[in-house]
Amino acid sequence: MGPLIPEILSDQWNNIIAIITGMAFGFVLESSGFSSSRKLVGVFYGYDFAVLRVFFTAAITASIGLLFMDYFGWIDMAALDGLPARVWPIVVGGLIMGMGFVTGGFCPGTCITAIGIGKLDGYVFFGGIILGVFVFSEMFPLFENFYNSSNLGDVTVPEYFNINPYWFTVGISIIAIIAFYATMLIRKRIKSVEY
Amino acid sequence: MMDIKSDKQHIYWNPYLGGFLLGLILIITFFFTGRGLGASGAAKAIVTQTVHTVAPTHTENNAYYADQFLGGKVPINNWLVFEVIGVVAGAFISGSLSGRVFFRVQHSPKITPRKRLWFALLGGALFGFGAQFAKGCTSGAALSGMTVLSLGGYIAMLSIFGGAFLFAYFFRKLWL
Amino acid sequence: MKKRYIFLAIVPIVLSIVLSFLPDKSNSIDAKRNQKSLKSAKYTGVTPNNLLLESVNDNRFIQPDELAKVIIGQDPSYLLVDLRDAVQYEKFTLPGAINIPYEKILTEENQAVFDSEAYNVVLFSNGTIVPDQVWMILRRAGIKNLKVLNGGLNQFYQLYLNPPKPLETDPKEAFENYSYRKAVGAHLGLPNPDEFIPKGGENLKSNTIATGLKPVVKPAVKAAPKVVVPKKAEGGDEGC
Repeated sequence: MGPLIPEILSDQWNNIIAIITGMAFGFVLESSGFSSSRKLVGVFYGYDFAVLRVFFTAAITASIGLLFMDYFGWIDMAALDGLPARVWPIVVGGLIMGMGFVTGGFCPGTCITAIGIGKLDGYVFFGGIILGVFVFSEMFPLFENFYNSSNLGDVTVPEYFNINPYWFTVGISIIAIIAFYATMLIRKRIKSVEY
Repeated sequence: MMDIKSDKQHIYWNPYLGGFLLGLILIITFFFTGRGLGASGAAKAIVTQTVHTVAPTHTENNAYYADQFLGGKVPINNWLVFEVIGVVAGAFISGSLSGRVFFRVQHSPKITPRKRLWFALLGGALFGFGAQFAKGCTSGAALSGMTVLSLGGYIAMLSIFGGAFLFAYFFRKLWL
Repeated sequence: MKKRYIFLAIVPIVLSIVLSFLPDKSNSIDAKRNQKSLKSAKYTGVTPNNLLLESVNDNRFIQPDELAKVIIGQDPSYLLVDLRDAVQYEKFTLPGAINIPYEKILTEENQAVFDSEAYNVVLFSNGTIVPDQVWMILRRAGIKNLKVLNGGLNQFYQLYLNPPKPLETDPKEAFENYSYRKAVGAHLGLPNPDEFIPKGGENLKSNTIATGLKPVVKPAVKAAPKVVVPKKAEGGDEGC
């Protein structure tokens, strides 16, 4: 069956599904507390590891779910949108984003949930994103070559390192469990922060 | 009007439950549309559409803008824009149920709200800038990328969190 | 440490281990990875919009002079693919060309030729219509590094079998091109019509499929090498 939209459902459903999915996404994020910037940066200062737990759990659940569905033929994983591995641009972008994360306390997805519940710093952060995108677009000719460089293509990690994707998922699950346990121990030792 | 700040406003879900549900949402999204979630793409669409409305020739001359008009596409008619609208709505619903909806600036007691807002602006600018290099943010590149085991997704996740850990020490006064 | 967390932690690990031990089904991600089938190519290949943009510019065409340089220089990074049927391929083809009749271009074994992205592939046939169609199809499938011989073998033969003689008033490059092309023709084993016109020569001309393309006499500047020509032809002979 694979991804339904291009073949089984028509393209017009795409935007409706986007809204519904977005609502579910926003609801879950907000209920997990991700509209709070102080909760989000807790992972970097050791007083609240919710980001790590939600992030990894979501990635593992979704990966295992999709792999099972792919195995049963319900979805074609190769046809899903991956992120082309433009190594150096992604690394540079990620570092800049990391700095933005600890400065502003949000990431675009969570800042939108903050907007939903009326946090003005969320509004300002989103305004900042618009500003950053605008500056980048205007400066694009300077970055154009770098932006398109070192493109390994839409390759998956198991493909790149030539390992079995299922064993890779086992490995990631184990790493995640260890990370959850270790951060639990760390949190017990850090002075708790009221927010 | 009744007191909208309720007692349970700081009660959040168990993060593992949140993560599990988020994972299910991702599966459903991928199953229906073949793509994952995201957020920074909506900002890009908004910027492009605005610039296009104000100065159409400029968008034709700039390779970054022009790319989004290929094949007669309208930038604002972007899947992510609709998704973001949904996120606002979903967050509002969830916040209302828990009494968290009211205007405020959330800041550490050690800094002023104004300082917080300036840093939010700076953080947003950095994030928007960086997100263009990586073609995604934590939800779009890192989370959705990791779901399909994409190399780019894992690299993005490692760089974003790595970068944040690197710079966390310098900005600790904002939060602790 | 609450018991239910331990239980929950074991669940993903157990599930992913179960995945690893499931028997290989033909449509699973592992088999797909090994097979590199084209099933998902319709999503990962070039979209029609981008294909239109690509087809508008002529970068995919390689001119006969450029191809001649590749052949004589025996450039290993080029792979010549003859899209005609086996009979015509046996009769005459470009040196080093492999034969993939164009109806069979999408079979698994022939696709394996294109899957390494190490080569520049030059598609050719008698004219340009068939190679251009094959170019479209392969680009749609996401294959890269494809070139189409401009004018096909028809123009190639015309150019090297019977290079257009330059007029007295033409610039020096035209004469150099002329000598170069005669030398290429000799190198490729094409008979020189100045010396004799065998039956074979007539057959060559009559076997060509009319494509409506007039052999274009290219202005001397672009593809012609500035190097003095006879030396180059000799060098090629030694290399053979």
